[in-house]
Amino acid sequence: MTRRLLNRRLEKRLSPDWETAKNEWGPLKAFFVECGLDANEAYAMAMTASELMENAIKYGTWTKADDVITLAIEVSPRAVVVEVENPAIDDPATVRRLDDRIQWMRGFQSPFQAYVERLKQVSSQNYEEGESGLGLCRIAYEARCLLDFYVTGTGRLAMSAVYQLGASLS
Amino acid sequence: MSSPEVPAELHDEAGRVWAVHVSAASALSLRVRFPEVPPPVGSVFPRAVLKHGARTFTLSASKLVGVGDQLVFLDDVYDCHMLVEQGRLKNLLGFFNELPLVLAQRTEITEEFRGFVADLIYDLTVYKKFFDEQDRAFSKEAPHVGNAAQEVLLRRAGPEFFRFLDTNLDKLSALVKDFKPEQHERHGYYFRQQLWPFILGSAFMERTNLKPRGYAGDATMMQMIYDDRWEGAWAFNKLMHRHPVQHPAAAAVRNRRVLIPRLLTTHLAQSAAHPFRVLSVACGPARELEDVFRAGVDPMRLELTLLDQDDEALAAARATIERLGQPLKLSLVNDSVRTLLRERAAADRWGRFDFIYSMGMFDYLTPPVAKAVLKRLYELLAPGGALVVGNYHVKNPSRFYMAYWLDWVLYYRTEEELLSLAAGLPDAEAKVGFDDTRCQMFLTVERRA
Repeated sequence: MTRRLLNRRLEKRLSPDWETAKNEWGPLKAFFVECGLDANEAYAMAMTASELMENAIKYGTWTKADDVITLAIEVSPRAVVVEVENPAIDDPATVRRLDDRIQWMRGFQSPFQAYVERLKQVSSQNYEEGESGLGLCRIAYEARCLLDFYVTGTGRLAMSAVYQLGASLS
Repeated sequence: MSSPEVPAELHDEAGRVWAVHVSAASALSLRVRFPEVPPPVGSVFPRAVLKHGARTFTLSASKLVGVGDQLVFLDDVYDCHMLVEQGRLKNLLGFFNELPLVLAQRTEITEEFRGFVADLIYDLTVYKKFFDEQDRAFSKEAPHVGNAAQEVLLRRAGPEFFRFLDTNLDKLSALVKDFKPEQHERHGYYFRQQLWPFILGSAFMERTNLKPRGYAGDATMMQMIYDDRWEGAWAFNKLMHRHPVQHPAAAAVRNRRVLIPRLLTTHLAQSAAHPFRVLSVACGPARELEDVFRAGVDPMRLELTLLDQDDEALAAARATIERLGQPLKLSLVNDSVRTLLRERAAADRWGRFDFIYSMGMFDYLTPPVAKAVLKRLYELLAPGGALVVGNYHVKNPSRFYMAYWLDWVLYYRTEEELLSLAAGLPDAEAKVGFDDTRCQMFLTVERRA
């Protein structure tokens, strides 16, 4: 039987600090439950939003005092979309690497397979902090989200995670 | 080229520290240079510390072998070239500890699915043995005789083998059609682990699974689909290659070659634009252009921009254009749509286009990205111009074949979902159509003049 979720949208502008990201976890989980996700799904999606915000804090280019993270969540009967925007890294090579990594991950039917392949590399090599890409694989695998991103016309990086509620192939 | 030397310390069993220099003696051993009298061959060093620039690596136990200048490791297997030349520590046994995670994947596989996979492997093995036995007999003949015999084999036994594969795809669909996404993922992984030798027996499936360009649907895969011919030396390999490239989803790719030229030439005929500017996004090998010119289009009227993130795809597109031998105004752009959007004033730099199309890309974009990309492409459209994007439908009959066998997943959409991507575009008229296979939809967005 197909579940019907509420059509809801939530948008927040948040300061790019760890405490803010951490404090969002509880309210976000409650929001997802309100929309009709079960407890496990709500936990996974709150984790996803939190991880994306942490990535935004870690890798965004925070040069202006009033720069913010934009968090947008859209719940519809078919999918939950979490989108996090931050000032992009103004380095085409870095963005290209992210692009390649996202496409590589999305190339696997099973996010577990992508996670294992990445783990194979990470477990046999020492990576610099943030270099492994295991965090993104973990979001895809544990929260079963499709990750994607684009750079907006205002130079912000919009990273999104999409959780499909029905059987995506059925 | 000799390996560079880096400083290291060898800690022996007696507690003495030997300051040495090491280089890569082979992939799995280090050459060691002692500044003074070396310890005897067979000496064991419980620990070694290697310095590479600012980085320090602690290595596990090693032993002095050979003529006393070579170290092999006793508890781990390190990639010594990578260690000394790149300053990266790769322990080839590192993944061993993670194997239980992989082994645990089979615990939630349904009994019916296990039985299905076991029967499929048995049957495929029987077929493979049969085809290989015939090929062995053919290989003893002169090539022209052997090839003729193999053609007979493919013609006579091929259709039955294809029916066998089709029947099993029907069984697979029946088994998995009500699975949740995580069940698809888990069972798909299990399926490919089990069927791996057969998957590698097909040139097409090998490529879709291994993805040497980092993504599915690369230019070579597209060429294989367009060519739709036997590939591989042995009959079994040829059959395993040909079956997926003849399935409806692949036929839909070939249909693009007809549909895009038809739409392009129709819009060209209705337009007064000169030059008529065309942009192909994620162009791949651009084989549809062969049909554009076969339709008698005046090449002097066209200005083509082909964009792809993969330089190999652009090289294939260039080769297509060169084969055509037409005097075209052509630009090749190596960029990704995900980052292309960063240019706020893209229309100023690129100009506006009369016809924009993207066939194999939107199936990979999630809704927020697809919507943003469509909006930006629409901004590049001239008044009176048309934008056409393809997307596979949620009912694509090849979807389980693609996901389970080919490890090729798409973002499937309904007609409404595809149409909704164009919602809110100013002065736009949008409609959705299908190709003959009904696998693939085409969203056409026209900008009113």
